[in-house]
Amino acid sequence: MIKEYLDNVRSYLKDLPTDEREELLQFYEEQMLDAGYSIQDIEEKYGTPKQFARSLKIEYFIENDEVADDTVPRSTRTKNRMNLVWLVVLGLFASPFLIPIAIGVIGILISAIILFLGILFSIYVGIIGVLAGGLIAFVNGVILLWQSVATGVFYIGAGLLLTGAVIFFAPIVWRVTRWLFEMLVTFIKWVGNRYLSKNNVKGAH
Amino acid sequence: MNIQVPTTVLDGSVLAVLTKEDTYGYIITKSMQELLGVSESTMYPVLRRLKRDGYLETYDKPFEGRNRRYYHITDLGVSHLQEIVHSWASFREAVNSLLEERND
Repeated sequence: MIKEYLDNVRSYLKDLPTDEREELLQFYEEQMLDAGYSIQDIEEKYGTPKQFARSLKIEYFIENDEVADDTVPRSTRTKNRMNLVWLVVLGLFASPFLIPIAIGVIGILISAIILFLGILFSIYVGIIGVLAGGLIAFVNGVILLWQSVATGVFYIGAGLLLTGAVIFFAPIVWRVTRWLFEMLVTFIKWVGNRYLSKNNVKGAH
Repeated sequence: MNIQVPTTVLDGSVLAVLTKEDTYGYIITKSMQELLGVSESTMYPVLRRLKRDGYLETYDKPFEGRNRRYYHITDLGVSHLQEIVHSWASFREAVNSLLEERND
Protein backbone atom coordinates (compact mmCIF):
# COMPACT_ATOMS: atom_id res chain seq x y z
CA MET A 1 0.00 0.00 0.00
CA ILE A 2 2.68 2.48 1.06
CA LYS A 3 4.83 1.29 -1.80
CA GLU A 4 1.99 1.86 -4.22
CA TYR A 5 1.42 5.36 -2.83
CA LEU A 6 5.09 6.22 -3.18
CA ASP A 7 5.32 4.76 -6.69
CA ASN A 8 2.48 7.06 -7.52
CA VAL A 9 4.33 10.02 -6.00
CA ARG A 10 7.45 8.99 -7.95
CA SER A 11 5.54 9.14 -11.23
CA TYR A 12 4.81 12.84 -10.56
CA LEU A 13 8.45 13.62 -9.74
CA LYS A 14 9.94 12.78 -13.13
CA ASP A 15 11.49 16.22 -13.57
CA LEU A 16 13.66 15.91 -10.46
CA PRO A 17 17.17 14.45 -10.81
CA THR A 18 17.04 10.68 -10.17
CA ASP A 19 19.34 10.63 -7.14
CA GLU A 20 17.54 13.53 -5.47
CA ARG A 21 14.20 11.91 -6.12
CA GLU A 22 15.19 8.51 -4.75
CA GLU A 23 16.79 10.03 -1.65
CA LEU A 24 13.62 12.00 -0.99
CA LEU A 25 11.37 8.96 -1.43
CA GLN A 26 13.64 6.78 0.70
CA PHE A 27 13.39 9.35 3.50
CA TYR A 28 9.60 9.51 3.44
CA GLU A 29 9.20 5.76 3.01
CA GLU A 30 11.25 5.24 6.17
CA GLN A 31 9.21 7.86 8.02
CA MET A 32 5.95 6.19 7.05
CA LEU A 33 7.11 2.66 7.87
CA ASP A 34 8.84 3.58 11.12
CA ALA A 35 5.91 5.67 12.29
CA GLY A 36 3.60 2.78 11.41
CA TYR A 37 1.22 4.92 9.38
CA SER A 38 -1.75 3.37 7.61
CA ILE A 39 -2.60 4.57 4.12
CA GLN A 40 -5.40 6.68 5.67
CA ASP A 41 -2.90 8.38 8.00
CA ILE A 42 -0.67 9.11 5.04
CA GLU A 43 -3.40 10.61 2.91
CA GLU A 44 -4.58 12.69 5.81
CA LYS A 45 -1.07 13.94 6.50
CA TYR A 46 0.34 14.36 3.00
CA GLY A 47 -2.73 14.41 0.76
CA THR A 48 -3.06 12.53 -2.51
CA PRO A 49 0.15 11.39 -4.24
CA LYS A 50 -0.26 14.25 -6.69
CA GLN A 51 -0.61 16.88 -3.94
CA PHE A 52 2.30 15.45 -2.00
CA ALA A 53 4.49 15.37 -5.11
CA ARG A 54 3.59 18.96 -5.87
CA SER A 55 4.62 20.29 -2.48
CA LEU A 56 7.81 18.24 -2.63
CA LYS A 57 8.61 19.72 -6.04
CA ILE A 58 7.93 23.27 -4.90
CA GLU A 59 10.19 22.74 -1.88
CA TYR A 60 12.85 21.23 -4.09
CA PHE A 61 12.86 24.08 -6.61
CA ILE A 62 12.83 26.76 -3.89
CA GLU A 63 15.69 25.14 -2.00
CA ASN A 64 17.55 24.55 -5.25
CA ASP A 65 17.24 28.18 -6.18
CA GLU A 66 18.52 29.37 -2.79
CA VAL A 67 21.74 27.39 -3.13
CA ALA A 68 22.28 27.99 -6.85
CA ASP A 69 25.65 29.69 -7.37
CA ASP A 70 27.79 30.68 -10.32
CA THR A 71 28.43 27.08 -11.33
CA VAL A 72 24.79 26.80 -12.42
CA PRO A 73 24.35 28.24 -15.93
CA ARG A 74 22.01 31.21 -15.95
CA SER A 75 19.75 29.60 -18.57
CA THR A 76 19.23 26.52 -16.37
CA ARG A 77 18.50 28.71 -13.39
CA THR A 78 15.99 30.81 -15.30
CA LYS A 79 14.35 27.64 -16.58
CA ASN A 80 14.06 26.24 -13.05
CA ARG A 81 12.61 29.53 -11.86
CA MET A 82 10.02 29.64 -14.62
CA ASN A 83 9.18 26.08 -13.62
CA LEU A 84 8.74 27.23 -10.03
CA VAL A 85 6.44 30.10 -11.01
CA TRP A 86 4.35 27.66 -13.02
CA LEU A 87 4.21 25.08 -10.20
CA VAL A 88 3.11 27.67 -7.65
CA VAL A 89 0.37 28.98 -9.95
CA LEU A 90 -0.86 25.43 -10.68
CA GLY A 91 -0.60 24.54 -7.02
CA LEU A 92 -2.76 27.46 -5.99
CA PHE A 93 -5.41 26.58 -8.53
CA ALA A 94 -5.44 23.00 -7.30
CA SER A 95 -5.48 23.71 -3.58
CA PRO A 96 -8.83 22.58 -2.23
CA PHE A 97 -8.25 24.05 1.22
CA LEU A 98 -8.14 27.79 2.07
CA ILE A 99 -10.36 28.63 -0.91
CA PRO A 100 -10.98 32.30 -0.02
CA ILE A 101 -7.30 32.92 0.66
CA ALA A 102 -6.34 31.01 -2.48
CA ILE A 103 -8.59 33.19 -4.63
CA GLY A 104 -7.06 36.33 -3.12
CA VAL A 105 -3.54 35.04 -3.57
CA ILE A 106 -4.22 33.90 -7.13
CA GLY A 107 -5.59 37.37 -7.88
CA ILE A 108 -2.53 39.08 -6.49
CA LEU A 109 -0.24 36.62 -8.23
CA ILE A 110 -1.89 37.03 -11.61
CA SER A 111 -1.80 40.82 -11.25
CA ALA A 112 1.88 40.61 -10.31
CA ILE A 113 2.65 38.48 -13.37
CA ILE A 114 0.59 40.69 -15.68
CA LEU A 115 2.23 43.78 -14.21
CA PHE A 116 5.63 42.19 -14.76
CA LEU A 117 4.87 41.26 -18.37
CA GLY A 118 3.25 44.66 -18.96
CA ILE A 119 6.25 46.60 -17.71
CA LEU A 120 8.52 44.34 -19.72
CA PHE A 121 6.44 44.78 -22.85
CA SER A 122 6.26 48.56 -22.62
CA ILE A 123 9.98 48.85 -21.93
CA TYR A 124 10.87 46.76 -24.97
CA VAL A 125 8.32 48.40 -27.24
CA GLY A 126 9.74 51.71 -26.10
CA ILE A 127 13.28 50.65 -26.93
CA ILE A 128 12.34 49.32 -30.35
CA GLY A 129 10.34 52.48 -31.04
CA VAL A 130 13.20 54.78 -30.12
CA LEU A 131 15.70 52.68 -32.05
CA ALA A 132 13.46 52.64 -35.14
CA GLY A 133 12.79 56.38 -34.78
CA GLY A 134 16.51 57.01 -34.53
CA LEU A 135 17.34 55.00 -37.64
CA ILE A 136 14.52 56.55 -39.65
CA ALA A 137 15.60 60.05 -38.61
CA PHE A 138 19.15 59.25 -39.61
CA VAL A 139 18.19 57.92 -43.05
CA ASN A 140 15.80 60.85 -43.47
CA GLY A 141 18.59 63.24 -42.59
CA VAL A 142 20.92 61.74 -45.19
CA ILE A 143 18.21 62.10 -47.88
CA LEU A 144 17.34 65.65 -46.80
CA LEU A 145 20.98 66.64 -46.80
CA TRP A 146 20.78 67.15 -50.60
CA GLN A 147 17.87 69.56 -50.25
CA SER A 148 18.76 71.49 -47.14
CA VAL A 149 22.00 70.99 -45.29
CA ALA A 150 20.66 72.41 -42.02
CA THR A 151 17.58 70.14 -41.92
CA GLY A 152 19.63 67.15 -43.01
CA VAL A 153 22.22 67.71 -40.29
CA PHE A 154 19.45 68.19 -37.75
CA TYR A 155 17.87 64.83 -38.60
CA ILE A 156 21.20 63.02 -38.73
CA GLY A 157 22.02 64.48 -35.32
CA ALA A 158 18.65 63.49 -33.86
CA GLY A 159 18.98 60.00 -35.31
CA LEU A 160 22.44 59.50 -33.83
CA LEU A 161 21.27 60.86 -30.50
CA LEU A 162 18.33 58.44 -30.27
CA THR A 163 20.40 55.45 -31.38
CA GLY A 164 23.10 56.41 -28.93
CA ALA A 165 20.54 56.73 -26.14
CA VAL A 166 19.30 53.18 -26.82
CA ILE A 167 22.82 51.78 -26.78
CA PHE A 168 23.51 53.67 -23.57
CA PHE A 169 20.31 52.71 -21.77
CA ALA A 170 19.97 49.12 -23.00
CA PRO A 171 22.16 47.59 -20.24
CA ILE A 172 20.26 49.55 -17.60
CA VAL A 173 16.95 48.34 -18.99
CA TRP A 174 18.26 44.78 -19.03
CA ARG A 175 19.24 45.16 -15.38
CA VAL A 176 15.84 46.53 -14.46
CA THR A 177 14.23 43.57 -16.22
CA ARG A 178 16.35 41.09 -14.29
CA TRP A 179 15.59 42.91 -11.07
CA LEU A 180 11.86 42.75 -11.77
CA PHE A 181 12.13 39.03 -12.48
CA GLU A 182 14.09 38.62 -9.24
CA MET A 183 11.26 40.35 -7.35
CA LEU A 184 8.68 38.14 -9.01
CA VAL A 185 10.60 34.97 -8.08
CA THR A 186 11.02 36.16 -4.49
CA PHE A 187 7.30 36.76 -4.27
CA ILE A 188 6.53 33.36 -5.82
CA LYS A 189 8.84 31.65 -3.34
CA TRP A 190 7.12 33.40 -0.49
CA VAL A 191 3.72 32.28 -1.74
CA GLY A 192 5.02 28.74 -2.27
CA ASN A 193 6.50 28.53 1.21
CA ARG A 194 3.53 30.13 2.85
CA TYR A 195 0.67 28.33 1.14
CA LEU A 196 1.87 25.25 -0.70
CA SER A 197 4.82 23.75 1.07
CA LYS A 198 4.28 21.41 4.01
CA ASN A 199 7.62 22.61 5.21
CA ASN A 200 6.34 25.11 7.74
CA VAL A 201 8.05 25.30 11.06
CA LYS A 202 5.61 24.97 13.91
CA GLY A 203 6.63 26.45 17.21
CA ALA A 204 7.11 24.52 20.42
CA HIS A 205 4.08 24.15 22.62
CA MET B 1 2.51 30.44 22.15
CA ASN B 2 4.64 29.77 19.11
CA ILE B 3 8.27 30.58 18.53
CA GLN B 4 9.72 29.88 15.10
CA VAL B 5 12.83 27.78 15.38
CA PRO B 6 15.72 29.41 13.50
CA THR B 7 17.44 27.22 10.91
CA THR B 8 20.76 27.42 12.72
CA VAL B 9 19.15 26.02 15.86
CA LEU B 10 17.67 23.14 13.86
CA ASP B 11 21.08 22.39 12.36
CA GLY B 12 22.67 22.46 15.79
CA SER B 13 20.00 20.26 17.36
CA VAL B 14 20.36 17.58 14.68
CA LEU B 15 24.16 17.61 14.95
CA ALA B 16 23.89 17.42 18.76
CA VAL B 17 21.60 14.38 18.57
CA LEU B 18 24.13 12.70 16.29
CA THR B 19 27.12 13.30 18.55
CA LYS B 20 25.68 10.69 20.94
CA GLU B 21 25.38 7.99 18.30
CA ASP B 22 24.57 7.40 14.63
CA THR B 23 20.86 7.08 14.15
CA TYR B 24 18.17 6.89 11.45
CA GLY B 25 15.68 9.40 10.10
CA TYR B 26 12.65 8.58 12.19
CA ILE B 27 14.50 8.88 15.50
CA ILE B 28 15.81 12.30 14.48
CA THR B 29 12.47 13.64 13.23
CA LYS B 30 10.64 12.21 16.24
CA SER B 31 12.84 13.95 18.78
CA MET B 32 12.65 17.22 16.83
CA GLN B 33 8.88 16.87 16.69
CA GLU B 34 8.58 16.22 20.41
CA LEU B 35 10.98 18.89 21.61
CA LEU B 36 10.59 21.66 19.04
CA GLY B 37 7.30 20.81 17.33
CA VAL B 38 8.98 20.62 13.93
CA SER B 39 7.52 18.36 11.26
CA GLU B 40 9.46 15.79 9.21
CA SER B 41 8.81 17.83 6.08
CA THR B 42 10.88 20.55 7.70
CA MET B 43 13.60 18.12 8.71
CA TYR B 44 14.24 16.64 5.29
CA PRO B 45 15.70 19.84 3.80
CA VAL B 46 17.76 20.32 6.98
CA LEU B 47 19.29 16.84 6.72
CA ARG B 48 19.84 17.23 3.00
CA ARG B 49 21.64 20.54 3.46
CA LEU B 50 23.81 19.27 6.33
CA LYS B 51 24.83 16.33 4.17
CA ARG B 52 25.58 18.50 1.17
CA ASP B 53 27.75 20.80 3.27
CA GLY B 54 29.72 17.80 4.55
CA TYR B 55 28.56 18.02 8.17
CA LEU B 56 27.12 14.53 8.09
CA GLU B 57 27.31 11.31 6.10
CA THR B 58 24.82 8.53 5.52
CA TYR B 59 25.00 4.77 5.21
CA ASP B 60 22.32 2.10 4.92
CA LYS B 61 21.66 -0.74 7.33
CA PRO B 62 19.22 -3.55 6.55
CA PHE B 63 16.19 -3.75 8.83
CA GLU B 64 13.24 -6.12 8.40
CA GLY B 65 13.83 -6.63 4.71
CA ARG B 66 14.35 -2.94 3.94
CA ASN B 67 17.04 -0.36 4.47
CA ARG B 68 17.29 2.26 7.13
CA ARG B 69 19.46 5.24 6.31
CA TYR B 70 21.76 6.08 9.22
CA TYR B 71 23.25 9.53 9.75
CA HIS B 72 26.78 10.01 11.03
CA ILE B 73 28.33 13.33 12.09
CA THR B 74 31.67 14.16 10.44
CA ASP B 75 34.64 15.99 12.02
CA LEU B 76 33.57 19.04 10.07
CA GLY B 77 30.11 18.61 11.58
CA VAL B 78 31.55 18.47 15.11
CA SER B 79 33.39 21.77 14.67
CA HIS B 80 30.31 23.31 13.03
CA LEU B 81 28.31 22.28 16.09
CA GLN B 82 30.86 24.01 18.34
CA GLU B 83 30.33 27.24 16.41
CA ILE B 84 26.57 26.95 16.72
CA VAL B 85 26.82 26.27 20.46
CA HIS B 86 28.89 29.45 20.88
CA SER B 87 26.57 31.64 18.82
CA TRP B 88 23.56 30.21 20.60
CA ALA B 89 25.07 31.00 24.01
CA SER B 90 25.58 34.66 23.18
CA PHE B 91 22.19 34.88 21.47
CA ARG B 92 20.47 33.39 24.49
CA GLU B 93 22.27 35.75 26.82
CA ALA B 94 21.23 38.75 24.72
CA VAL B 95 17.58 37.67 24.55
CA ASN B 96 17.48 36.88 28.27
CA SER B 97 18.83 40.28 29.20
CA LEU B 98 16.24 41.94 26.97
CA LEU B 99 13.32 39.88 28.24
CA GLU B 100 14.25 40.20 31.89
CA GLU B 101 14.92 43.93 31.74
CA ARG B 102 11.18 44.46 31.73
CA ASN B 103 10.84 43.13 35.30
CA ASP B 104 13.20 45.66 36.85
